[in-house]
Amino acid sequence: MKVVKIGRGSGNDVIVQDPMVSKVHCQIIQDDNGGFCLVDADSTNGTYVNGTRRHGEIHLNSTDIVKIGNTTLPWQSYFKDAPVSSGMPPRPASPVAPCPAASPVRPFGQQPPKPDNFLVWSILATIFCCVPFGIVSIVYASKVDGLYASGHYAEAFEAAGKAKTWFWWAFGIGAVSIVGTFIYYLAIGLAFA
Amino acid sequence: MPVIVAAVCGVLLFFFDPEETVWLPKCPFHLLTGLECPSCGFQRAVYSLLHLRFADAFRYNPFLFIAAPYAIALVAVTWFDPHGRLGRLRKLCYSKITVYIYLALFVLWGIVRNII
Repeated sequence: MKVVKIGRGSGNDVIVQDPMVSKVHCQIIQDDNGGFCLVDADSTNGTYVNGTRRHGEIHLNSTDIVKIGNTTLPWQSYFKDAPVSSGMPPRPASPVAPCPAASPVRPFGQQPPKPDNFLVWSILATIFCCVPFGIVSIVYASKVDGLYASGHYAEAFEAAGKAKTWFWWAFGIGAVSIVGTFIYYLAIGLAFA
Repeated sequence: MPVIVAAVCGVLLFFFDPEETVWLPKCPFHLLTGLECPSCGFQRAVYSLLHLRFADAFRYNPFLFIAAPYAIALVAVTWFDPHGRLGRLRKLCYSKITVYIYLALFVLWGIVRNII
C-alpha cells in the first residue's frame, strides 16, 4: 500500500507548480495487489484521465494518462522505488482502504472526514448581532480548511470546535437578549393594560 | 428550514416597522454600551428594502449591502448546492482572503460609524 498526495501545496508528496492545480488536488493509491486508484480531492479545475474529467475514486491502468491543470503527471514513476519527481521521498503510507474499481465517492481513504468549519454560522452571527464572539468564531472558522488541507487534522478539528463554541456563545446571548426584551415589553404592556 | 426562517423574518419585517414597534429584537451590544454595532440598523434597512426604499436602507446600514450578498452566497453554496455546481463561488466564499476582507470591513465599519 502506497499513497502519493499531489497538489500545489507544500503538504503534498508531489508538488506541482502550476497555477491551475489546487493546493490539495488529488492522490494516487497503490493497493497491496499492485492496482492503482486515483482520487480527485474536489479540485477546482479537475483531474483528467485520458482527456476526460473524473470525479471521486476511479481505477487506473498503468497506461492511463493523468492530467491536472496544464501538467501531465508521470505518475507511474511515483511508484518505482526511486524517489518521486520532486526529489522528496514519499511519506510513509497511511492505512487506506483498498480501492474498488467503482465505488461511491469517498475521498482520501481513511483520513478523518473534514470538519464542518462553521463559517456560515459565524458570518450569520456577526450579522445578527452579538459582535465580539462572532468575530472570534470567524477567525477560527477561517483556519479550519487550511489546517485540514495541510494534514493537521487534530488542529483542524480543534479550530472547528472553537469556532463552534464561540458561535454558540454569540447565538446564546443574542437569543437571551431577544427573549429578554420581549418579556420585558410584554410585562410593561400587561402592567398598563 | 433556512428558507422558512428567512421567510418568517421577511414577513414580520414587512408588516412591522422597527421604528414603530417595540416587539422586534433589540441589539444587546447597543443596549449595554450605547454604541452602535456594525449590524445596528439591519432590521430597519431590511424593512426599507422590502418597501423598495433603497436610499433609506443604505442610510440605516450600508454594510448590509456587503454582508447580505456574502451571507446569501455562503448559505447557497453550503446548503443549497448538493451537486457542486457552484464550485467556483464556493472556493471564493470560503477563501481566507474573502473572509479576512469581510472581517476587516466589519470591524472598520463598526469603528467608523461610532466616530462620524
